[in-house]
Amino acid sequence: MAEVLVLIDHVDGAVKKPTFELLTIAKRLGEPSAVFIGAPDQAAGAAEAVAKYGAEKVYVVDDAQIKGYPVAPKAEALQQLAAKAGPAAILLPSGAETKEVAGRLAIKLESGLITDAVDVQAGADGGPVATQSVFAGNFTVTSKVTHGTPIITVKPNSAAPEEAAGAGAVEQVAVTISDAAKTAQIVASQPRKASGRPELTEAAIVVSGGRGTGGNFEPIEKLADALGAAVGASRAAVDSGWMPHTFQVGQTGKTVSPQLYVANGISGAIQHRAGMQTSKTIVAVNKDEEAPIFELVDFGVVGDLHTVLPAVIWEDRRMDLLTSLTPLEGGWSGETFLAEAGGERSVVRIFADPRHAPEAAEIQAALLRLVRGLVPVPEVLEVRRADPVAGTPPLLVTEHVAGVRGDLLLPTLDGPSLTRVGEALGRIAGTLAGMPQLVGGTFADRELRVAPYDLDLTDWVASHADGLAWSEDDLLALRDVAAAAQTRLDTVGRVSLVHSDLNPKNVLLDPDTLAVSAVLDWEFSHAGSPFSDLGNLVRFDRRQEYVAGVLRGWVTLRGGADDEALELARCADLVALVELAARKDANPVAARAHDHLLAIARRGDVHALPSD
Amino acid sequence: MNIVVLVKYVPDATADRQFESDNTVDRVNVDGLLSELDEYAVEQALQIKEKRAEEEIEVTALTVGPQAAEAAVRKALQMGADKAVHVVDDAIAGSDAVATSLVLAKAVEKLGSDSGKKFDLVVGGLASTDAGMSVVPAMLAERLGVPQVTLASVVETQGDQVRIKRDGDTATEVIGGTMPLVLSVTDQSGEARYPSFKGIMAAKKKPLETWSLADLGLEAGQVGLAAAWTAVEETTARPPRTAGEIVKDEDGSGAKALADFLASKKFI
Repeated sequence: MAEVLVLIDHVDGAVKKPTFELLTIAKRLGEPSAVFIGAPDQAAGAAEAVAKYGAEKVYVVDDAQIKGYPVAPKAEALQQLAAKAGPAAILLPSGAETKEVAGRLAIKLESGLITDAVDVQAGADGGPVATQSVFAGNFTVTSKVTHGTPIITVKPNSAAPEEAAGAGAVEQVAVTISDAAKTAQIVASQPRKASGRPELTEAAIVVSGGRGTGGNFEPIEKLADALGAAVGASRAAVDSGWMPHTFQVGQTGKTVSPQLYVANGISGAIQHRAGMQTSKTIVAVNKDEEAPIFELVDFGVVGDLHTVLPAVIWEDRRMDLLTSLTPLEGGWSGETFLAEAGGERSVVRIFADPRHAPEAAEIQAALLRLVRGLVPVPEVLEVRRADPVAGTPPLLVTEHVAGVRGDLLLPTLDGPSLTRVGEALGRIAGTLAGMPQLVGGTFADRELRVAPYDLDLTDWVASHADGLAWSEDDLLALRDVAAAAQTRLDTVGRVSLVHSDLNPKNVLLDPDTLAVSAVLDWEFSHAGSPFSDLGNLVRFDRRQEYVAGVLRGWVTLRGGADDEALELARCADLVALVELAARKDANPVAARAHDHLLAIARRGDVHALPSD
Repeated sequence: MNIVVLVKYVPDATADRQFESDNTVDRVNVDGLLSELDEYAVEQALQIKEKRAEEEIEVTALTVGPQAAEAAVRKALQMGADKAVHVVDDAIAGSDAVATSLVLAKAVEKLGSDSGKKFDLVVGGLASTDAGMSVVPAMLAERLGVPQVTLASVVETQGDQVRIKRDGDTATEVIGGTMPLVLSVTDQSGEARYPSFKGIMAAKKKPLETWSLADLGLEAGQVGLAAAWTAVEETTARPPRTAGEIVKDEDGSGAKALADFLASKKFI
């Protein structure tokens, strides 16, 4: 079988990926022979690398006479090698210099040249048939060489490298370089600073920015790093001086054909399309929905890249974690996961949504530590605050507590058991109500300092009137109920720690002993009315045995009369009901709360139920 | 000093470009113009002439192409080239880079022998906007037996020395060469000038010669489609991309949708 010469693309002996693609293509056409032009002491490593991809021979050409002079000496070396080996074809990686080498070589060998092939296959006669993409990718052309030795330059990403053991027999080749070939020389060379990112033309993913970046390429670079991609730029971005010309994708820059091309703030002028249109998958983010780039895309987002890209990175992190963790049923917003390591189970809560406060995990951890020993809660194992540099979200790891969720267990219980569970929950609400706070408000930091918030129920109703979208009569009725409730609550005169989401769904129970094993999800904890959590516990589940148990548990700790506690609990729960009712379309719980509130308003009674 | 600038008449990249039935580029039925990238070559040639005003420098625009290609050299004359040569011959149609470089080499040699002064510089653009092979300068240099310094973003000349800056694939290089040589410049080398009204008027009086293959001592069989060392087997219009899904970003929904799309394609 005839040899097919493949010019090795390498940096100081380190063989680059396009070489392996070329070797894979060469195997379709004959027996791959790699050509190493470089320092002799680097040849062995390169030979070993190419042998893994099927190179049977490795011709080593000492570049002492070649380096320092562009193009012409390489063409002479290849000419002499071709004369010796009589190859069936010569393949070179498409690059600015190699294309010129190929051009000179074609004249020397009186051979046809095909540049920038995106695919090469063996034709009917066994000779190479090359596919090119032309006219800005609007046409594909297949052609073959009809004269001399086919010389083909092949673009990166044109074949998936396939490993195949080759002999890799090294053969030193002496070449003579003419003086004429050395009349142009490289006077100075400044190697480009390594970015740590893949090379633009070789990358499987390219993330590009244009005019829409406004000169800020940080979101582009961060997304590129998250995806392991190369960074590109449009001509507009380069002409504005935001990025060097070497990053330019387009007719007068690089032509790329990656698996994925992400165009951000790039309108998609013909000049840019010419450089990226053959990408397998194209995605664009642009504020202008009329931008021509959207005609090309597989997926497009009309939006501001400065907000969309960081959010995509967050999503990416979350998904990364998702693959290693099991989502927990009932966990908040798909951010709670079960992790298992070395037989130890723990619960990981990722605050991936960028709307979370950067300290969200720390605040929740501080609360868990505060109440631990007083209320059953999982132990905090690890807290991580958001790292904006690394792009990692806040994270909270807690011990995994065995148990059955209260909302699943309660419907199965008989009367006496309901009372027992109710009493246990009432005691928890009572315990929290006994933890005084100086002022009402939200927790602002991990020291649990309070950002004061003075809530008045009538104002609260007014501020949610739009969401409620009620008739004026109903709204006025609700305002009267709220005003009366506020007057009742004012008699309490103190504030305490409030869990704020204390309902059976957030409680784990031991199904055998019916003891509470953990109170979960302290996300919405704040300083507020001591009766809030009590009101939450008895909001929907009105079964006599249960409510009686809850009240007994509470009163045992906090004193007072059952009916008085219940009255205040209903008044305090109005805050949550109003907030839920104002977004009644969001979920079934909110819709249910809405119906309760309407019944309360229309009957002027905080105990009213829709079915009454 | 004699400078030859290579210009090419190409189908307008913004027009609907097509192939002919013989798989050659339709250069007749599509609006053509001076290859935008060759304008930078004209510009650099003119700048060298202007910087070395004390010397006698002649800039010749050279094109090979159909009748309409005359427009390309006319534009070069309007920009400031001193004279122009248009090689036109029916047999040339369908020539590949190899044949094109042959015609160019013969024309450059004829220019030298006609005037008795050999060329010092041949200047070309970085790629034509249609075929984009970027190999003609290298092939021409090989045929003329001279070095080439290519893809220059900055050009400086002094005496018979040429120095260029080139943003290579892995490094930024300074490359030096001795004239005569072939030089190619990129669009980073400097914005090309617009022809002034005076330039447009003056261009009408500048010499424009039309040469045939016979004038170059070439035969029809040496060029054109039949003589090409490559043959196009098939041209296929790329199927238009089917419009993908476009979503509007509202409150982070766009990012979520985009992330889901990328995940569905296994990119994240």
